[in-house]
Amino acid sequence: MKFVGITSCIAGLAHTPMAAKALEKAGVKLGHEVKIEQQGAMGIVNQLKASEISEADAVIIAADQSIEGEDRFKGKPIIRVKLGQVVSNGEIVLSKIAKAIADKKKMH
Amino acid sequence: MLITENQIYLEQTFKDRDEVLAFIAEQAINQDVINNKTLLFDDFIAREDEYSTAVQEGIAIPHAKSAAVKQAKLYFVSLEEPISWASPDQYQVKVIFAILVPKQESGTKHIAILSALASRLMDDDFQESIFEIDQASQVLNLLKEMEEV
Repeated sequence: MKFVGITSCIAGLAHTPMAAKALEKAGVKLGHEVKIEQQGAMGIVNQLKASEISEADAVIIAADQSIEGEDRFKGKPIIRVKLGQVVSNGEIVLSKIAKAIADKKKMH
Repeated sequence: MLITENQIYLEQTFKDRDEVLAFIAEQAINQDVINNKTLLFDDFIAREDEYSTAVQEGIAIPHAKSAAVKQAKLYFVSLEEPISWASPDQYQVKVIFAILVPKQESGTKHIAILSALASRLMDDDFQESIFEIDQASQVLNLLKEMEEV
Protein backbone atom coordinates (compact mmCIF):
# COMPACT_ATOMS: atom_id res chain seq x y z
CA MET A 1 0.00 0.00 0.00
CA LYS A 2 0.95 3.64 -0.30
CA PHE A 3 0.78 6.02 2.60
CA VAL A 4 1.54 9.67 3.03
CA GLY A 5 1.55 11.46 6.33
CA ILE A 6 2.47 14.38 8.51
CA THR A 7 4.37 14.46 11.77
CA SER A 8 4.38 17.53 13.97
CA CYS A 9 5.14 18.09 17.64
CA ILE A 10 5.11 21.24 19.71
CA ALA A 11 8.85 21.71 20.06
CA GLY A 12 9.39 20.32 16.58
CA LEU A 13 12.83 19.15 17.58
CA ALA A 14 12.88 15.47 18.18
CA HIS A 15 9.55 13.71 17.95
CA THR A 16 8.72 15.18 14.55
CA PRO A 17 11.73 13.67 12.74
CA MET A 18 11.74 10.54 14.90
CA ALA A 19 8.11 9.71 14.21
CA ALA A 20 8.63 10.32 10.50
CA LYS A 21 11.64 8.03 10.49
CA ALA A 22 9.79 5.38 12.49
CA LEU A 23 6.94 5.26 9.96
CA GLU A 24 9.25 5.21 6.96
CA LYS A 25 11.34 2.49 8.54
CA ALA A 26 8.20 0.47 9.30
CA GLY A 27 7.14 0.94 5.68
CA VAL A 28 10.37 -0.57 4.38
CA LYS A 29 10.01 -3.52 6.74
CA LEU A 30 6.36 -4.19 6.00
CA GLY A 31 6.59 -3.53 2.26
CA HIS A 32 4.53 -0.35 2.08
CA GLU A 33 5.48 2.89 0.40
CA VAL A 34 5.53 5.57 3.07
CA LYS A 35 6.36 9.24 2.67
CA ILE A 36 6.08 11.55 5.64
CA GLU A 37 6.19 15.32 5.65
CA GLN A 38 7.77 16.81 8.78
CA GLN A 39 6.36 20.04 10.14
CA GLY A 40 8.82 20.99 12.85
CA ALA A 41 11.41 23.51 13.90
CA MET A 42 13.05 23.18 10.48
CA GLY A 43 9.86 24.33 8.79
CA ILE A 44 8.44 21.85 6.31
CA VAL A 45 10.79 18.99 5.46
CA ASN A 46 10.12 16.37 2.80
CA GLN A 47 7.02 18.14 1.51
CA LEU A 48 4.36 15.90 -0.03
CA LYS A 49 3.66 16.29 -3.73
CA ALA A 50 0.07 16.49 -4.95
CA SER A 51 0.64 13.34 -7.01
CA GLU A 52 1.88 11.43 -3.96
CA ILE A 53 -1.20 12.45 -2.02
CA SER A 54 -3.57 11.43 -4.79
CA GLU A 55 -1.91 8.03 -5.18
CA ALA A 56 -1.90 7.29 -1.45
CA ASP A 57 -4.32 4.75 0.03
CA ALA A 58 -4.50 6.73 3.26
CA VAL A 59 -3.08 9.67 5.15
CA ILE A 60 -1.42 9.22 8.54
CA ILE A 61 -1.34 12.22 10.84
CA ALA A 62 0.80 12.04 13.96
CA ALA A 63 0.60 15.48 15.51
CA ASP A 64 -0.12 17.09 18.82
CA GLN A 65 -1.07 20.40 17.32
CA SER A 66 -2.95 21.53 14.23
CA ILE A 67 -1.04 20.90 11.03
CA GLU A 68 -0.53 23.03 7.97
CA GLY A 69 -2.36 22.22 4.78
CA GLU A 70 -4.76 19.56 6.01
CA ASP A 71 -7.15 20.58 3.20
CA ARG A 72 -4.78 18.82 0.77
CA PHE A 73 -6.13 15.51 2.07
CA LYS A 74 -9.80 16.20 1.38
CA GLY A 75 -11.59 13.01 0.39
CA LYS A 76 -8.80 10.72 1.62
CA PRO A 77 -9.06 8.37 4.56
CA ILE A 78 -7.20 10.09 7.40
CA ILE A 79 -5.84 8.14 10.34
CA ARG A 80 -4.73 10.05 13.42
CA VAL A 81 -2.20 8.44 15.68
CA LYS A 82 -0.28 9.46 18.77
CA LEU A 83 3.25 10.70 18.18
CA GLY A 84 4.70 8.82 21.12
CA GLN A 85 3.11 5.58 19.94
CA VAL A 86 4.57 6.01 16.47
CA VAL A 87 8.08 6.67 17.75
CA SER A 88 8.09 3.70 20.10
CA ASN A 89 6.06 1.23 18.05
CA GLY A 90 6.12 2.41 14.45
CA GLU A 91 5.77 -1.06 13.00
CA ILE A 92 2.76 -2.02 15.09
CA VAL A 93 1.03 1.27 14.32
CA LEU A 94 1.62 0.98 10.59
CA SER A 95 0.51 -2.64 10.37
CA LYS A 96 -2.72 -1.82 12.22
CA ILE A 97 -3.40 1.06 9.85
CA ALA A 98 -2.69 -1.10 6.81
CA LYS A 99 -5.07 -3.76 8.08
CA ALA A 100 -7.83 -1.24 8.79
CA ILE A 101 -7.53 0.23 5.29
CA ALA A 102 -7.49 -3.24 3.69
CA ASP A 103 -10.62 -4.26 5.64
CA LYS A 104 -12.38 -1.08 4.62
CA LYS A 105 -11.58 -1.69 0.97
CA LYS A 106 -12.99 -5.20 1.14
CA MET A 107 -16.28 -3.86 2.44
CA HIS A 108 -16.78 -1.61 -0.58
CA MET B 1 29.91 24.24 18.83
CA LEU B 2 26.87 22.28 19.83
CA ILE B 3 28.87 20.01 22.08
CA THR B 4 32.39 19.98 23.48
CA GLU B 5 34.09 17.64 25.94
CA ASN B 6 32.69 19.74 28.78
CA GLN B 7 29.20 18.57 27.89
CA ILE B 8 30.01 14.88 27.88
CA TYR B 9 29.66 12.83 31.08
CA LEU B 10 30.48 9.14 30.87
CA GLU B 11 29.74 6.28 33.25
CA GLN B 12 27.75 8.41 35.68
CA THR B 13 25.56 7.17 38.50
CA PHE B 14 22.07 8.58 39.04
CA LYS B 15 19.02 7.08 40.63
CA ASP B 16 16.27 8.42 38.37
CA ARG B 17 15.25 10.69 35.52
CA ASP B 18 14.79 13.84 37.59
CA GLU B 19 18.24 13.51 39.07
CA VAL B 20 19.76 13.39 35.57
CA LEU B 21 17.77 16.41 34.42
CA ALA B 22 18.71 18.39 37.54
CA PHE B 23 22.37 17.48 36.95
CA ILE B 24 22.23 18.74 33.36
CA ALA B 25 20.53 21.97 34.46
CA GLU B 26 23.25 22.45 37.08
CA GLN B 27 26.04 21.97 34.53
CA ALA B 28 24.30 24.22 32.02
CA ILE B 29 24.04 27.14 34.43
CA ASN B 30 27.66 26.75 35.50
CA GLN B 31 28.70 26.77 31.84
CA ASP B 32 26.63 29.86 31.07
CA VAL B 33 24.46 27.95 28.59
CA ILE B 34 21.26 28.91 30.43
CA ASN B 35 20.21 31.75 32.71
CA ASN B 36 17.63 29.97 34.84
CA LYS B 37 18.11 26.49 36.24
CA THR B 38 14.60 26.01 37.60
CA LEU B 39 12.95 27.12 34.39
CA LEU B 40 15.03 24.73 32.30
CA PHE B 41 14.27 21.86 34.65
CA ASP B 42 10.54 22.67 34.57
CA ASP B 43 10.58 22.85 30.77
CA PHE B 44 12.28 19.46 30.61
CA ILE B 45 9.65 17.97 32.90
CA ALA B 46 6.78 19.59 31.01
CA ARG B 47 8.01 17.85 27.87
CA GLU B 48 8.38 14.52 29.65
CA ASP B 49 4.84 14.87 30.95
CA GLU B 50 3.46 15.37 27.44
CA TYR B 51 5.19 12.23 26.38
CA SER B 52 8.26 10.52 27.64
CA THR B 53 11.48 11.16 25.75
CA ALA B 54 12.67 7.62 26.44
CA VAL B 55 11.70 6.53 22.98
CA GLN B 56 13.62 3.30 22.60
CA GLU B 57 15.09 0.82 25.00
CA GLY B 58 18.20 2.38 26.52
CA ILE B 59 17.98 5.87 25.06
CA ALA B 60 16.33 9.10 26.20
CA ILE B 61 16.44 12.48 24.51
CA PRO B 62 15.12 15.01 26.99
CA HIS B 63 14.74 18.33 25.21
CA ALA B 64 13.66 21.83 25.98
CA LYS B 65 13.00 24.73 23.68
CA SER B 66 13.19 27.13 26.54
CA ALA B 67 13.40 30.82 27.38
CA ALA B 68 16.10 29.81 29.86
CA VAL B 69 18.48 28.72 27.10
CA LYS B 70 21.02 31.25 25.83
CA GLN B 71 22.67 29.10 23.17
CA ALA B 72 21.82 25.75 21.59
CA LYS B 73 23.72 22.91 23.24
CA LEU B 74 23.75 19.18 23.41
CA TYR B 75 24.65 17.24 26.55
CA PHE B 76 25.61 13.60 26.50
CA VAL B 77 25.35 11.45 29.62
CA SER B 78 25.98 7.72 29.83
CA LEU B 79 25.18 5.74 32.95
CA GLU B 80 26.93 2.99 34.78
CA GLU B 81 23.60 1.33 35.56
CA PRO B 82 20.33 1.80 33.62
CA ILE B 83 17.56 3.76 35.34
CA SER B 84 13.80 4.12 34.97
CA TRP B 85 12.70 7.11 32.88
CA ALA B 86 9.07 6.94 33.99
CA SER B 87 8.06 6.08 30.41
CA PRO B 88 4.82 4.28 29.58
CA ASP B 89 6.85 1.64 27.74
CA GLN B 90 8.93 1.04 30.88
CA TYR B 91 12.14 1.64 29.00
CA GLN B 92 15.32 1.54 31.05
CA VAL B 93 17.71 4.30 30.07
CA LYS B 94 21.46 4.10 29.84
CA VAL B 95 22.33 6.85 27.39
CA ILE B 96 20.96 10.39 27.44
CA PHE B 97 21.16 13.06 24.75
CA ALA B 98 19.82 16.26 26.24
CA ILE B 99 18.94 18.96 23.75
CA LEU B 100 18.77 22.60 24.83
CA VAL B 101 17.51 25.16 22.35
CA PRO B 102 16.57 28.84 22.82
CA LYS B 103 12.83 29.34 22.64
CA GLN B 104 12.88 31.49 19.52
CA GLU B 105 15.37 29.47 17.52
CA SER B 106 14.10 27.64 14.46
CA GLY B 107 15.34 26.66 11.04
CA THR B 108 19.02 27.07 11.95
CA LYS B 109 21.95 24.77 11.34
CA HIS B 110 21.82 23.73 15.00
CA ILE B 111 18.23 22.63 14.69
CA ALA B 112 19.06 20.76 11.50
CA ILE B 113 21.83 18.85 13.28
CA LEU B 114 19.66 18.05 16.27
CA SER B 115 16.83 16.86 14.04
CA ALA B 116 19.27 14.71 12.09
CA LEU B 117 20.51 13.24 15.35
CA ALA B 118 16.97 12.50 16.53
CA SER B 119 16.11 10.70 13.35
CA ARG B 120 19.40 8.76 13.26
CA LEU B 121 18.56 7.52 16.75
CA MET B 122 15.86 5.40 15.14
CA ASP B 123 18.50 3.40 13.23
CA ASP B 124 19.34 0.09 14.85
CA ASP B 125 23.00 0.29 13.79
CA PHE B 126 23.33 3.80 15.10
CA GLN B 127 21.79 2.78 18.42
CA GLU B 128 24.32 0.02 18.80
CA SER B 129 27.22 2.35 18.13
CA ILE B 130 25.87 4.65 20.82
CA PHE B 131 25.76 1.93 23.44
CA GLU B 132 29.41 1.20 22.73
CA ILE B 133 30.57 4.73 23.45
CA ASP B 134 33.18 4.85 26.19
CA GLN B 135 35.21 7.88 25.17
CA ALA B 136 34.27 11.52 24.72
CA SER B 137 35.96 11.56 21.33
CA GLN B 138 33.41 9.05 20.03
CA VAL B 139 30.58 11.41 20.88
CA LEU B 140 32.35 14.30 19.18
CA ASN B 141 32.99 12.23 16.05
CA LEU B 142 29.36 11.22 15.92
CA LEU B 143 28.28 14.84 15.92
CA LYS B 144 30.88 15.75 13.33
CA GLU B 145 29.35 13.10 11.09
CA MET B 146 25.96 14.66 11.65
CA GLU B 147 27.17 18.11 10.61
CA GLU B 148 28.34 16.79 7.29
CA VAL B 149 24.93 15.43 6.36
